[in-house]
Amino acid sequence: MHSTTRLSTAAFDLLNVGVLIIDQQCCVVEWNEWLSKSSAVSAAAAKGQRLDEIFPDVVRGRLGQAITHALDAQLSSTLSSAINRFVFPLTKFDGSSLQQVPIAQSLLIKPIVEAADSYCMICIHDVTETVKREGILREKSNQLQKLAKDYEVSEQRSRGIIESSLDSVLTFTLEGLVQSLNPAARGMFGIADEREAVLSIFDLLPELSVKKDIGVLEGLVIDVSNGWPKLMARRIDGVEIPVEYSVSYVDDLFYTMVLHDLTEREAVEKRLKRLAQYDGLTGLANRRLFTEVLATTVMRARQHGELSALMLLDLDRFKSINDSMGHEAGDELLSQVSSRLEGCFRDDDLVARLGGDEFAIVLNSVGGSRGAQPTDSVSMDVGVGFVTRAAERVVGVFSEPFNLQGREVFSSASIGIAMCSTDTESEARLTKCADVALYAAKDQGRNNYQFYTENLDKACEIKLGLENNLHHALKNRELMLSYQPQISRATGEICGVEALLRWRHPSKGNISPEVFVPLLEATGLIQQVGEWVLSEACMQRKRWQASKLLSDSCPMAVNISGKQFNGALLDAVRKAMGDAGIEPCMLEVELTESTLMEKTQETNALLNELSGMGVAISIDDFGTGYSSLSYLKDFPVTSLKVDKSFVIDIIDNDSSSSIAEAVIALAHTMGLKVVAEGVETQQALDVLSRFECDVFQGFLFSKALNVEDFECFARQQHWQSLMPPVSSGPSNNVISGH
Amino acid sequence: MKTLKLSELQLDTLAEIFNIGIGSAAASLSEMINEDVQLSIPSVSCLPVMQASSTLTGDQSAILSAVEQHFSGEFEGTAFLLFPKGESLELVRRLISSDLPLEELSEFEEDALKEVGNVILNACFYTISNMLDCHLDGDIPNHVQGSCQEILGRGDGDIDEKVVLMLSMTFSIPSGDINGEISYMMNVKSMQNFLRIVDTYLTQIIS
Repeated sequence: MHSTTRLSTAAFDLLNVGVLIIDQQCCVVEWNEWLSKSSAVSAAAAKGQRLDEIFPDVVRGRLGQAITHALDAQLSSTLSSAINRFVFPLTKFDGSSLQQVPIAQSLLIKPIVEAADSYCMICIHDVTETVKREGILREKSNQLQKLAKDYEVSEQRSRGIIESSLDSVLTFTLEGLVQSLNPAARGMFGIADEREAVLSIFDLLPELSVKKDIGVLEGLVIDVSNGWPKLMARRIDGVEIPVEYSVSYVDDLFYTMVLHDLTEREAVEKRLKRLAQYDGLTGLANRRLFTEVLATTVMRARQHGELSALMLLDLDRFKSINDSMGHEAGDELLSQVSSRLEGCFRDDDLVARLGGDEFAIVLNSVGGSRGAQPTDSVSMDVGVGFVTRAAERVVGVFSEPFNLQGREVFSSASIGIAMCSTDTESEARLTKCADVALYAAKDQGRNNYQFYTENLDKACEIKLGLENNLHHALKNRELMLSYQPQISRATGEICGVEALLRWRHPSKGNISPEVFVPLLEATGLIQQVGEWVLSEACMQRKRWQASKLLSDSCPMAVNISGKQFNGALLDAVRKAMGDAGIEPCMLEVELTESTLMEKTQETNALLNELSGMGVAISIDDFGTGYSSLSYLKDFPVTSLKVDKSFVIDIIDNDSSSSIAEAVIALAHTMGLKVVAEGVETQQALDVLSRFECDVFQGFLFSKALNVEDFECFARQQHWQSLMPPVSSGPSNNVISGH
Repeated sequence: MKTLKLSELQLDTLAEIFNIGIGSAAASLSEMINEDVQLSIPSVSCLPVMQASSTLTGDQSAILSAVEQHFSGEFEGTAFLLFPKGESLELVRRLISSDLPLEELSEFEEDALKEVGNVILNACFYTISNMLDCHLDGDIPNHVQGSCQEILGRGDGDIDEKVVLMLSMTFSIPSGDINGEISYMMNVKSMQNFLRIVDTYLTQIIS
């Protein structure tokens, strides 16, 4: 063979593409080494064979057409791998999978004309790697696309969240340059959308500043575990608004800040605070606010010498109005009282309702000079004068009646006042002093004001001590009855006995009823003690009946307190009489004028019941109360007891004498017996005898005695010598009662 | 600038011949795409190169995607199959069922386009060669891209010496029509040769 031919053949077989040449009959003329290896068909086997016999089903469609074009018309063709990937069944060894894998092919078909013969060359390129790379690239491209899309969606979502958030969100650089604001932030700061101006965070939050050296923002609180820090923010239009914020870094590149406008919240808090500090019914400050203000007032007094005063005010007998007219009327009264009270004080003063019918007023700065340390007496005088005038005003506003549910009702107040100066130790102490003063005011008959003094303290202490003791007095047999005889003018005999309650205190000795009876009433012990008194008195009367010391027409008189005078009294009386086994005619109840005046309707019913039982009824302390005489004709009363005030100075005082005479005459006209209390002198006795008073009671005859001494007295009859001569007259008939 | 005027008869004859060639191309393409492809050539015209701006798009500067195939023999020149760029991609996508991103025309897509061009142009050549009984050599196709002027202006020879035989072609596929254009660019001498062959054919038919 020619050397060029040998070289050509060598080159032909070294090609790394497959090459085959077929003739017009489609028989293989050339078949290179690459093709042999890939097809497992050797050149020797292929040459001379028809292509469609070597590879059945291959030479058709596009390839067939291309071969025809080449052989018949000398037209070249390409078969792209994309459309015709595996035209020929070719394989190769793949290193990575250690397998034979198919070869992806790209074909070139070219006509060859040699002399007059047409041939067709088919060139086969291995594009497997390209396909693979394409696949990978495409895969990567798809992934990138997906990532881009996901990112886009995620971006939109994040943006959407921030854009639609009702919270203000803004970002700014480490130097404070604002990068973005969401719509809420723009709204909060009043920035119009179109505004593109450069903003610094320091414009919006002037309270922040830059830490000079480091360039990090100063004053920015990152830790929100104690709640979001608060600042004043400044809108573009200059308006300042309270805000709270939270802030965080993002990758050390910028800050993200979320802001809440607190304006609304602060307004709500203010309203709530108001609700929490003011009394719903009256609109006055409530106890909570009062406590706060009082603390400040005391502090200012102690530290700055500002002289102030505390007034505690209770409505007198509010409970009885509430009980008799109902709670609505009670509330209405409280409302009206509050308005009148407010009118008595300055705007700076605090008028508060502590609860129920309790009020308190804090009068700030009542005139003592400021800064005076300690409070001097001149300043104190000025202050006291000021407060006194205020208290007078308060007492004054109660002089006009209140219109409750169409009725005119009078009310009054008891007021306790304590001055607050540099000497004031504490709010507690100040309040206690005012309380003591209030107590004293009540004690003085109510409807008045009292300033606290140290004396009051002592009196108060004593009272409190006694109150405590009283609770045990009955149990400890410290209470006992003394008996004072009543002597008849007509017969000169004992015609009645008054039982009087005594308290022998273990350490303090005998305590006056004037002291402890009010305490009994105040503590409510009166019911229990009163029942005991009735029961004991009746028992004693029984004993004296049994021992015939007293005649049956000699009643035992028992004092009944206003607090006892209710329906329960009837049961108590019945029980006492029943248990003792005495007749009603042996019992007399003594009621004071003021007691009878308090509740007229009920009074009538009770008196009638008592009278119906057969018990005698006597009006004690007659002439001392503000009463009308018309009731005398309505009430089933047996006798009147002229108050000792008229008897004591009957000699010296003409008025007393006249009144005593008049009362006796009046009583007789109405068929009532008259008892004179406090007969201490012979002269008095004589005068009273002249006036024809029926019964005498007093030290002249005897003081109140214990059982033994009384029995002794009764038997000895020493008083007989004192008695005036028995006079005749129609008035004598009165004694036997009616 | 030379002009060549073709008679009505010549133009009609060419249209006929090309339609036949196109028919077999359509069959091949149908197989390749797996869709029913209809190809038709409504009109034939002959123009100087400078005038032969594409009728495909109104815009002279529009980018076209083209397959060119050089031919030689009794007459020589370059055959072009022209598509507007977007449409060519559309065609390729359908051929190889690809969902590639818009701007990418990878190696495979180029190959696929070349193959389509090849199928159509070869079918025409084959028909011409058979019916006109003339000898042609067709080279391997290439893919080129550019404006119509750029594409046609390539190659050797003086532009003024060249004329273009333009055949507008319609690709009808159920999924939507694609419009393309076949152009045969030859120098005047070749064209004259070509026309002589056409006349010879006509004479044979008539007689």
